[in-house]
Parts: sequence; C-alpha cells; structure tokens
Amino acid sequence: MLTMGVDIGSATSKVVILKDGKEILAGVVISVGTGTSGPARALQQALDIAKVEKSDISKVVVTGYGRMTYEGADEQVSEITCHAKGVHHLVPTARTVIDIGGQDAKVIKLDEHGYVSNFVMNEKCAAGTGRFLEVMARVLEVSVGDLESLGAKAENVVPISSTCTVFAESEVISQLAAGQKSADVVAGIHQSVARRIAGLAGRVGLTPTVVMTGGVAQNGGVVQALEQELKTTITVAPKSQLTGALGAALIAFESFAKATDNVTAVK
Amino acid sequence: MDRVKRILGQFENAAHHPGQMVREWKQETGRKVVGCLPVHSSGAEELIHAAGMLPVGLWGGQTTISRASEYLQAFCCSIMKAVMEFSLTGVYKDLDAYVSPNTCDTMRCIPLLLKETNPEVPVIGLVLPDNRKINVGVDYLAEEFKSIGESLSEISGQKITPDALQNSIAVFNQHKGLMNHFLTLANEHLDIITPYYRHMVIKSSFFMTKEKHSEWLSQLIDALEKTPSYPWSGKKVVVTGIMMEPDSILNMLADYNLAVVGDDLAQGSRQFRTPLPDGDDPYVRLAQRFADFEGCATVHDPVKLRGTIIKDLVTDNQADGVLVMMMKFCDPEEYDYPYIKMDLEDSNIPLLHVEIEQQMDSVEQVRTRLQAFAEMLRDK
Ligand code: SF4
Repeated sequence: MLTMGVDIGSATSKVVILKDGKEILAGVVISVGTGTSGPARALQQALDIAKVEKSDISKVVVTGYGRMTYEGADEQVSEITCHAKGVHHLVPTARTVIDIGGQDAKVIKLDEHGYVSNFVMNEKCAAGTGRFLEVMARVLEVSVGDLESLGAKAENVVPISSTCTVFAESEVISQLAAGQKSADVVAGIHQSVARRIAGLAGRVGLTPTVVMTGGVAQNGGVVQALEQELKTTITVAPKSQLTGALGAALIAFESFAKATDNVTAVK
Repeated sequence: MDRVKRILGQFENAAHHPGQMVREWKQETGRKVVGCLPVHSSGAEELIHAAGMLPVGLWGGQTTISRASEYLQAFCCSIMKAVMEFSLTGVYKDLDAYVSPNTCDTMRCIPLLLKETNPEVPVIGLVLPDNRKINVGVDYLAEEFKSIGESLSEISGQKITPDALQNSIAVFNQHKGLMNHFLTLANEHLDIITPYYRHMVIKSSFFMTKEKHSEWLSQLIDALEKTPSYPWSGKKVVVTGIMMEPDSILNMLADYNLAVVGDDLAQGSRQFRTPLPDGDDPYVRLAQRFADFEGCATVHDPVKLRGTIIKDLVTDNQADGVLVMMMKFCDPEEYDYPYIKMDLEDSNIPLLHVEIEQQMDSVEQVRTRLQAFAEMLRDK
C-alpha cells in the first residue's frame, strides 16, 4: 500500500511517498512553499521518482503552514504531530525534537511511543528561525548554504545581542562596518539562533535523545552552537527536511490501515 | 432543540450588538448607562443598579488600533487599547459615566486618560485594597463603595437606599446562581452549547439588565432540561485567562472537537462563582464578596489558590486538559502562569499556553497549536 505525506512550509514544499508504512520510495524538497507552484512540483517529482500515479496512492495527509488551503489531501494533521511521528520512525530513542523551519521554531517532547507529550512554538516572530538566517546571509552577501563553512572559520564569536530580526540586521551591519570579520559575525549569528531556541527548549525541558529537524538542522554551525548552549549532544535527523512529510505519510498509512481493518472486521 | 437554538440566537445577537442594546434600553427607560471596566467592577455594578442605571461591561473588542497609540504604549494589553480606541472614536458616546477599578498597572492610568480624552463624562475610580481579607480591608472597601454610591446617586439623580441596594444584591445573586446552573447544565449538551455559544451567553450578560438576562437564562435552562443530554465523544478542556476571544478561536475549538467544560476566565466564571454573602449592611456585603473571592491574577493571593481551583475544575468536569489563554502583555496573568504550570504539571494535567490578543489579524499560529494539542490529547 502506498501513502503520501505532503508538508507545505513557508519556505519549502516537501513530499514523501511511502510503501507499506516502511520504505521511502521518494522524498522531494522544493525550495518554495505555500502559495507557490512548490507543492504541485514536489508532488509530480515524487510521483516520477517512485514511478507511480497519484491514483496508486491510497491516502494523502497534508501538514505544515499551507495545510489548510491544500486541496489534494484526504486529511490534514498539524506539523507538531507529524514531526513527532517522522522523528520517532527514524530515531526511535528520540524524546525531544527541535524543529527550526523557515518561519517557526518548535520544541516537541515525545513519550516512548513517539506521541507528543508537550510542545512549544515560537511566537509571531522571525527570531531564531530560517528567515532570520536568510536575512543575515543577505547582509553578508553569502548564500544561506555558505553560512556553516564561513562560521567554521571564526576565531572569535561576535555576539549579536538583538533578538529582533530587524534590529539584528542593523547590528550585523554595524559590526561589519566596525571591521569585524564576517566569519566571526556568522558565529555570533549562529549563537543568537541557538540562544533563542534554548529559551524555548527550557520551557518544555530537554530529555535525550535530542533530535533536530527542519531546514536549519542542515547548518552544522547552528547545531554546534545549540549543543553548547543546551549542554547536550544533538542528533540531526536523517532527511531532516523531510521528517514532517514522512510523519504525514506514516499517519496516512496508519489511519488507512485502521480503516481497512475496521471494514474487514465489519464484514 | 429548535427552542434552545432560538434562545441562543437571542444571546448571540445581544453579545454582538452592545451599542444597540444600550440605546434600546435608554430609549425604553430614559435612564442612564455606566460603563464598567474589567476585571472587578463587581460591587460597583450592584450600586449602579440600585441607582436605577444600567451597568455595561467594557472589555474592549475587535477593532483597529490607531488613536489609542497616542495614549498607551505598545506593551499595554489589547483590551485597554481597544477601550481607549472606542472612547476616542465615539463608540462609547451613549455612556453617561465610567467606573474604573485599579485592576493592574495599565488600568491605574485609565481613569485619567478617560477624563483627559472625554472631559464631559464623569469617571469614578474604584480603588480595591490589596489587603482585602483583613477587617480593615473590608471596612475600607465598604467605605469606598459608599463614596462611589454617592457619586453614582448624583449622576442618576436617584439616591441609593439600603433597601434598594439589598434588592440589587438579590438580583445579582440570583443571576450568578442561574449562570452557574447554566454552565453546569451546558456540559450535558456540548453538541449545542459549543465554545462559541457558551461565550455568547456569558458575554451578553455585560450588555443588558441582569433581570432580563436571568429571564433568558431561565428559559434556556428550561429548554436544555427538556432536551436529552448528549454523549460527547470529543475531548474536554478547561480554559483559564482573562478572556477567550476572538470568536475565530472559539470556533477553532469546535473544529478540533474540543469542548469547554469549565472556565476560570476573568470575563467568565470569575464573575459568577462567588456569591455575595448574607448580611444586614449591604456595603459590607459588597466588600466581603471581594474578600471571599479567590483565584484571580489581579487580586492579591499569597497562597496561590488558582492552580488548585483549575485542578478542581478539571477533576469535577472530567476534563482532558487546560488551555491557558494568555492575553498578550497582561502582566498579572504572566506572573501567575509559572504557578499554574507547576501545579498542573505536578498533577499530570496537559496544558497549552496560547498567546492571544483582541486584535489578531492572523490566527493560524493559534490554529496549529490548538490542533496539535487536540491531536496530543487524542493520542494520549
Ligand atoms: S488584560 Fe491584564 S493588563 Fe489588560 S487590563 Fe486586564 S488585567 Fe490589566
């Protein structure tokens, strides 16, 4: 049986096609999110990779910021539940998930069965999210993907004290104008994200294994800064951008299997 | 069922049209209306009633904040911003006076701002004591109510007699009893008394006479008692905070199959759960109620009973979790939160902290939180 998970974020669209709730046949990330061609393109690419038709998919679950407006799904589930599900599947010992996406950050506590036992999300603010890093990368005239390698060259950390993205942007500009090396400033930016997330994590408490997901997890500089800030080791989820879509596909599998079981039982 | 829906429609209409309710009352009676600011105008409301006027609750509303920013800083709560905006833009033009209690730091400056911006409308400050439980606290407040009563008598032109005040207290006590009865009965009809309609019934009580509201409540209670109870299969929550608005959030609860089975809201049960005690001196009765009252962030409570009150609500109503509706920038509520969180976590009661504002242009972040919380309760 094939199921599909669609995760439409603010900055990216992700699709996973799953076979029998176990084998990932396709996992696609497109770098544009809700309100764009991203979801449709991700869906088509995933179908092409898996070499299947949409009609072969038994159930589709959509999640993410764009879930309310997506019409191609049978059910919509919150990204908190989907990330928890996806991470538990990939790292069964996970008890804390730190997910940093394009415009929000969340810390989720899991029980031993992979169910959510508590969670917190950032408030309406770009601080500590992917958007913050994007704005900073623009000021530094580098791509977001280069921040990690640039930060690795830091000799000192130039602390960025403003949490607000707008103020932090001017702070970064003045640090550069004052002659600070961009590598050192990048290390400060990573630390700033880490501090913001540490504050969030403190509200639910950290239980190992701590797993990080979302686009920002691909930046080793942030992961390292977060490890220092939280004084714990962090496992970056394999396919860190796809955990939400994977969780959605797993939920689709479970609910379809349950429904068919029920039908069989009634017969 | 149809009768219940028809009565609920009356409450809904009243809750959505406070201005119209006030104008109609003024036309019918030719009497005056006094705006009462949150949270504890209780006591003053009975006095307003005894002076033959209508007390109307001023709990802000959904509007765009523009002129209020001239007077209130960005970090003031959205309720007071809306109150100032309404006052500055003529929405409160039918009010003949205000009663403004010293509920919190933001509200301490409200009487002055109202006077400054509407000099022709009298503003009566109500200074509630911190030491409300000791005798001198009660004596002080009884005197404060006497002096407020005199100001109100002057405004209405009708002297408040002890008998009139005792009668008003009886009317308010009867109303509190009916509200509590309705809220208990509502839990047997969670299909009809959705979070939205539950709120409509409560909210409308701020815009009409207690006699009329009690009459409608009696009809609603009668209709509900004749309706078979509904076995609710969704999850049940208790809500706490200052208030639970905008309406879109209430409807979201229904979307995710969450029913409200108890509340500890300043705009909700905190207004009704403490009756006025018996006694010969009506002013002491008003003051003693404030001394008896428990569990609000805006009154001094050295033993922090609020967590226990919420836990009892959860147990008594078999709730699955608690929603803490945190009014953004409400410092009394923010200070209470760590205690509530600790108490609920100690008892393994799931809770969700949701930050709200009256002027929320986007509620999608709230939606994600509520949906995830509902999923979490379902999977538990
Ligand atoms: S919501 Fe909080 S800050 Fe605002 S008036 Fe009420 S008590 Fe004061």
